Amino acid sequence: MTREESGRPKRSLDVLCERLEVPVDRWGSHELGALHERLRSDASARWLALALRSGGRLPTDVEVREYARELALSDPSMLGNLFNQNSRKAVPRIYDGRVLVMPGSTDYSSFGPGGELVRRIVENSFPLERMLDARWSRDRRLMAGRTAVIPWRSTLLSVGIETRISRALRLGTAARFGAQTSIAVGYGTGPLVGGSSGAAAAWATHLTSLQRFDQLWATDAVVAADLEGWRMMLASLGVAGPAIGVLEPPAQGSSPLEWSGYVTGLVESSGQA
Amino acid sequence: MRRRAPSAGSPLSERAITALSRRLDTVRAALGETVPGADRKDSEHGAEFAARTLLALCSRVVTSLDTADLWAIYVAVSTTYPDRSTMERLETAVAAGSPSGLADLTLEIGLAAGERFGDLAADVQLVSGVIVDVTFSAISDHNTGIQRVVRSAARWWALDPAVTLVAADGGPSMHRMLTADEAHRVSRWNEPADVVGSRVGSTDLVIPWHAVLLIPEVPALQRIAGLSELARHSGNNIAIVAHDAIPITGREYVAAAETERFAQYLELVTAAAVVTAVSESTATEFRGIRESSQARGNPGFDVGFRRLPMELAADTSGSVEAPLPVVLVVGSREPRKNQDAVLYAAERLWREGLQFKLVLVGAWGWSTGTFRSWLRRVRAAGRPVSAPHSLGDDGLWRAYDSASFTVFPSLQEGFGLPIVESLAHGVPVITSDYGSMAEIAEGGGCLTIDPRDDEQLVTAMRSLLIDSDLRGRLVREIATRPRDSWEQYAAAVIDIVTPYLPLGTTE
Repeated sequence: MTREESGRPKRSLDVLCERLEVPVDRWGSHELGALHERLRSDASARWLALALRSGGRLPTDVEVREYARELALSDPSMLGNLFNQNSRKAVPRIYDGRVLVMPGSTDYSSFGPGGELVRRIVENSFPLERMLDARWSRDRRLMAGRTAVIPWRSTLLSVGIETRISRALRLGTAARFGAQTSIAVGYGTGPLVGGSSGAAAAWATHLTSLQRFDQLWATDAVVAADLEGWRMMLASLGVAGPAIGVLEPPAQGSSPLEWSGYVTGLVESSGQA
Repeated sequence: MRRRAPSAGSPLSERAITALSRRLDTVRAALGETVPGADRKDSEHGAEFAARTLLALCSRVVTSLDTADLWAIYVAVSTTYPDRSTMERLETAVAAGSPSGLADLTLEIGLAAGERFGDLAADVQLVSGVIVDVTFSAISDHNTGIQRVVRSAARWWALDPAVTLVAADGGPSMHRMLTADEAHRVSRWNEPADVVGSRVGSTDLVIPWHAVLLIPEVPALQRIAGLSELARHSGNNIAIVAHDAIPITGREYVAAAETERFAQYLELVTAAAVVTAVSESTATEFRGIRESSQARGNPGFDVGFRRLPMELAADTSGSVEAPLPVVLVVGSREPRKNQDAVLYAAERLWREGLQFKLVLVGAWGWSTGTFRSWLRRVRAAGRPVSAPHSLGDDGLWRAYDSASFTVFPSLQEGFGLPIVESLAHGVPVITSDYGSMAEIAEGGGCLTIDPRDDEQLVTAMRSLLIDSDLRGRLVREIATRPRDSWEQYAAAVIDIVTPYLPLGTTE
């Protein structure tokens, strides 16, 4: 009898094994050896494991890598300990097949461009099927309302500016290992190139979060050309950078229907730029 | 019309008035402007002559509308470089069409700036040709990365009669010739102090004149505004030696203040005529910066590159015997250098039973928690590891000579000096498979890995520890690599920037 069948609450290790389709042995328990092997060889699996074992706190690249080292130098039988089996933390929800619309730090920062644009996108994504407004909590969890969510095999849609390095790195890692597709509205290189207004570090932080995204939708052709320059720079990091296209937001005074069309276009046009 | 004697907030000393008069006369002569009394002997250049000369020069500018002349007059008066708002005020006065109004304004704001940041008692030289700003390497004993590059090249630039090495003091100070100590620190690093460059002795201020100002370091923040205006208005061109763009692309690897400073530096870069990068990878980064800047309607700049050379920096005694094979890691301890990966890979290999000593040489940087944790861990396990923060140049060369191979799996570099240092010592290198590091590795003697993939690093280190044939092949590859020298590098950079000398240059 599995834990689920026994009626006991699922722990994060059970959820992880189910999501990774780790085989069960003849006693109905998941095979820790198989899970250990999977975690050692699959960075996405490690990302999910870390997100689950921390109660939904999304890991960074460095944490995913350190976990691989931890696993390589430990015995498979110790996996339960590594995974903190006895944790009483609530198991976060795993969202797959959804679009997580993320305003980033835009709500909290005064300099963010397009604050109105972000507000419009978030407002008009609400009624759309599969879309979920997701915001950071103070403890680096991604929250949909009051629920910690893990964007596993879902779509990340970053529509604001992420100015905090800890969040930016976690978002970038989620795009790399957790998400099916990662899309962002591109605002250009801001104050980075050609004179700074004291916001250069925040802007560089934001762009760091987007290095591993699949698609950037620039708000116009000038912004797209600006972002192409930024993408060119990423070769020094061994990163190809996202595809860059132009999707102009509706003009001021456009109807909610037009805004919905824009938001839908951000998601559905990705990969076709 | 008689001009009143120059005055600032506080009265100028007689010495300062004489110096002002001489500075203005120097600019006057260069512009070919005639002023009665200009042929009098130096000691007679006083306030009246200064006033006449300044008025004559301002009359010339009001007629010609030449901002380069305007810039030079202001610099001669203030002994500082004007920032954008100062130039705008001066240009407004030019547009008003009153030479006396322009002269008054120049004195008012110029002498005030000079009292605060300049040296109003100093003389000036107009210097043409290639001027190299080596400020930080001249005033600081810091000697890593950029300073090593600057000093290695400046050794040869100092011998080139078409090149003048200069420095600047804080704020908007203009350039000046190097002192004897500074010249030694820049061009004769590690040599006895009695040898100095041939063009040293005067500490005159320097007005770049139909020149290329080559900037091989990232200048202090307070100097950017003045240098940017120099690029835009002085009639001189600026050339940049670009080392990397890590502060904007590798934000997680630097402090926020470093990114802010670099963004200001890019204001200067985007006003430059040419950028010569230390690697093709860095050239690509700066082409990206240019693309972004041009997309916003700014003018572009040319981008080229001259890779840093592979030259043995000191005599070495050849291979040094060690009881265990030595794996050497050189570089400051910070997350970007990825040295925790080397400690982890070493631990894996020690557990496999391989025998070797790991030596990590480098200063403590920032955010070293992961590195410290791994170092503690391998030390606690009794592994043969040492981690000196510095060995000095001689000690470092001996460390290279004792190494079986070196490991440099950095996550981002503008160049990667430890790779070429290792190769110069005939020692194979494991390094990263992209960017400047892959570029250097292409020439042979290296194994490349994805530095974010620990398994690749473990495999490469294992191979070089157990496969003597592989190691021998890499050593032979190193022997066939073309070598170049810092002398060649220094000359090549001058060749790259010389075509950007403005028309009318006399050298």
